[in-house]
Amino acid sequence: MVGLVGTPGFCTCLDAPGFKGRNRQPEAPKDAVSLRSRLLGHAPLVSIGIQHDHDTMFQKTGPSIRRIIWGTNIKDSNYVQRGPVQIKPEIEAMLAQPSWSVRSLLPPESSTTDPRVSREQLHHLLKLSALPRPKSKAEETKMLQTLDSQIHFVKEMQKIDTTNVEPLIAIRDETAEYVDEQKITLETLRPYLEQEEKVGTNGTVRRRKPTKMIASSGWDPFELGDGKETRKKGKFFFVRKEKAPENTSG
Amino acid sequence: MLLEPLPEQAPLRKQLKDAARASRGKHDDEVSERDRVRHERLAQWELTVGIEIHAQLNTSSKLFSRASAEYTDVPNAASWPFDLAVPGSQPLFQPAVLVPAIRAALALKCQIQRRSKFDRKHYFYHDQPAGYQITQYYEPLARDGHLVLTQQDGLGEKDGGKIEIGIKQVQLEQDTAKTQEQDEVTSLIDFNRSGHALIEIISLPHLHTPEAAAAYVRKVQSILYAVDAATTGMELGGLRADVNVSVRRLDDNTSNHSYSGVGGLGQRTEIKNLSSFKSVEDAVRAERDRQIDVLESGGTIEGETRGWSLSAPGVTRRLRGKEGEVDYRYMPDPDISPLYIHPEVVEHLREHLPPVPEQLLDMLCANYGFTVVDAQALLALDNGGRLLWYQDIVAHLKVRENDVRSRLGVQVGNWVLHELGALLTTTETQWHPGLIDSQQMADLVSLQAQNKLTGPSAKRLLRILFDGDKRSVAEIAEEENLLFMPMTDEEYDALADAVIEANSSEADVVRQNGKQAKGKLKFLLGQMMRQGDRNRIEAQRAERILQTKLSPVGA
Repeated sequence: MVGLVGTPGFCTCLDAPGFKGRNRQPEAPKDAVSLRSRLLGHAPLVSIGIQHDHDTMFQKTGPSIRRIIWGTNIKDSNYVQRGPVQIKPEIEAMLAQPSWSVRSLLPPESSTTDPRVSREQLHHLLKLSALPRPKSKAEETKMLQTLDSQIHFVKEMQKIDTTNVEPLIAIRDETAEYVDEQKITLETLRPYLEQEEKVGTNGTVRRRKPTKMIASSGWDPFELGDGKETRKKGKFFFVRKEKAPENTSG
Repeated sequence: MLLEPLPEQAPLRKQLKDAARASRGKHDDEVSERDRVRHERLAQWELTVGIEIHAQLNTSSKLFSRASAEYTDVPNAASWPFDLAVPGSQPLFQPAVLVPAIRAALALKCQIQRRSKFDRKHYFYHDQPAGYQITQYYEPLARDGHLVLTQQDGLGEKDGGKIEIGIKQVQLEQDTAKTQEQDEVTSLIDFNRSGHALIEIISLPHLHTPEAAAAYVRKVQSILYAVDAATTGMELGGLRADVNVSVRRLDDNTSNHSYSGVGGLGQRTEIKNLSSFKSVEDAVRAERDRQIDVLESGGTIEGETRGWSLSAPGVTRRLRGKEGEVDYRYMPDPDISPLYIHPEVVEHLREHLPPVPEQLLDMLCANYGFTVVDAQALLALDNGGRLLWYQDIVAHLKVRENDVRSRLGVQVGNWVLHELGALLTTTETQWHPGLIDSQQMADLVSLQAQNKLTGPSAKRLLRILFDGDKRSVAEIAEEENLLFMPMTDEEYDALADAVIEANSSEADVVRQNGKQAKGKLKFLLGQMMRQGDRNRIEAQRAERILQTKLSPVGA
């Protein structure tokens, strides 16, 4: 989102009056996500994104920067001031009508296709997650419907072409500098290599093991208990299981 | 004893010699009819085995917590909150585990990945506090290694002389807590082990006999021990094996399962948690026979998990069928950063990688003149301690003697392996480094090499040292009159004259025929040896004196 806004093309689009204030209620339906309301929320980020992409232009601070970036010198009264941004009325009008809603990714209400998930599959999934079975037929039907719409949603997601895009696992710094910082080097391992000693003349090494028992950090897992020692037998935790029914098939 | 204990001396050497003899192609003539039939039946099927080995890494901390990984007798005394999956606790990768892990991967000839990632393997069990195990399913630490097995490692004839087993990957993962069954319904849990670092070594399905399977596991354990990566063996629970077994008819093309890129295989089953080399062999054999029985009678093999136990070594039992199959839902762990390893780490560890047994064997044969059988025997003794003592002795000698190393090497080897070995066996003593000082042994061998001790005297001296005498060897030899005092020329002279006089007819024959009368000369020599002081006479000198005295006139 930030990168997108930083492109020059988009700059001029924002260079328009008519961008209404934050307090104005969006005219779009309630559950629609309007591009404009997202822009409103991210107005400061817009300027930051542009700074990165246009470093050479960043010579002064304050209103004069806006002038250089937006290329306008006129404070038109038709323009709507939204934080540091002035929006043209035509743009404001265009942004008032959302062009997309997440609803497009969900199955239509009146869908009558066969359920994608069977009862058995639902029970299997619940068992895998150690969750209880639904208590009533109604609850089960609701679960199946929810699963259905979620699968539909995911299938829509899967239509996006992700060739050559590495899947995101977590939001992390992936710059080369950060990777270098994180690399395990010989320095990192030096203290552990020093725990070893050479044995004999063939290159064998053996890690020196402590002769006395090492206690833990002093954290006592039994502190977590309710004090009634319901899960403790001596120094062990314990679990009880149901006695397996007699069967001859091993 | 960290490794599987091996019998001392004679039985071990006999085993190795038998194996060596077998490899030369001799086999027992008596093959019973039943064996022949079984052999024929087996010849129509090909067995394929792949093995996954889990080994505890030799390191001071756990994988994702700073808790100590050193063994402690007190249950639940060595855990941090993350090891019990206390809500809010976070993983903290411990670089210490990389030293043994990378060494293990290098010793197995793998490529260390510059970047590897951690994944979650989900299943619920009381020894898995988080409900998932952290492992490396998608991007493991190391890939594409191999291991070579030869007949020295215990391969049977059916495998041929040498096989190469591919290793798919080596990955880091967590160990579970330890469970003890108190009774039928209660299990006691000790979380000391929860979160320990393990490596999982996954082989390609390249093994084709039960013997090869056991040999593979044995070899992996010895390699891991040699590079200090995993020092607790199978017997102590530090190493566990899961085997995957399938069979296919040799003349049949319908087997079309593919595992790890190897195709044309039959449906496989898994046998989990085997904890000794013999059990690996027995379980594979039992499962192979079961699968052949099922297929021959027209049935099909289900992909299931089976168990094996020592109490019924000929069979495997079903633990879990396809309907009970666990879906692990592998998922990259979002809490853990990828692991990036600098190439200098890999290069340093590779350069200083401790030698694996094969390398030590080659060294003993090349530099110390050992035979393969003797070298194997030496390496197997006392967890490598005897080898080091042996090398110390030779090192002392090198300072002393300006001699060809290999000749002395064999001599010292003889003392260390055979003479001392015999003493240890007969007195049922365990060797330890302080038993006899290496300097003393070196002195003993040195004296013998200088002919100041005869064979029998040297053995006597060894016994004195073995019994704990701390005097220097020179002192003992003096005081116990063990030194060889050679006969003087006059004594030889006198003895030769006496023998010649007593056997004048033979002497005349020698005088007349010279070199042609070898037999008679030997006879006279024998007489001298018998009549002279057994401990002091030297055959060569005696022979020379005789030759001089009996040389034909003018020769």
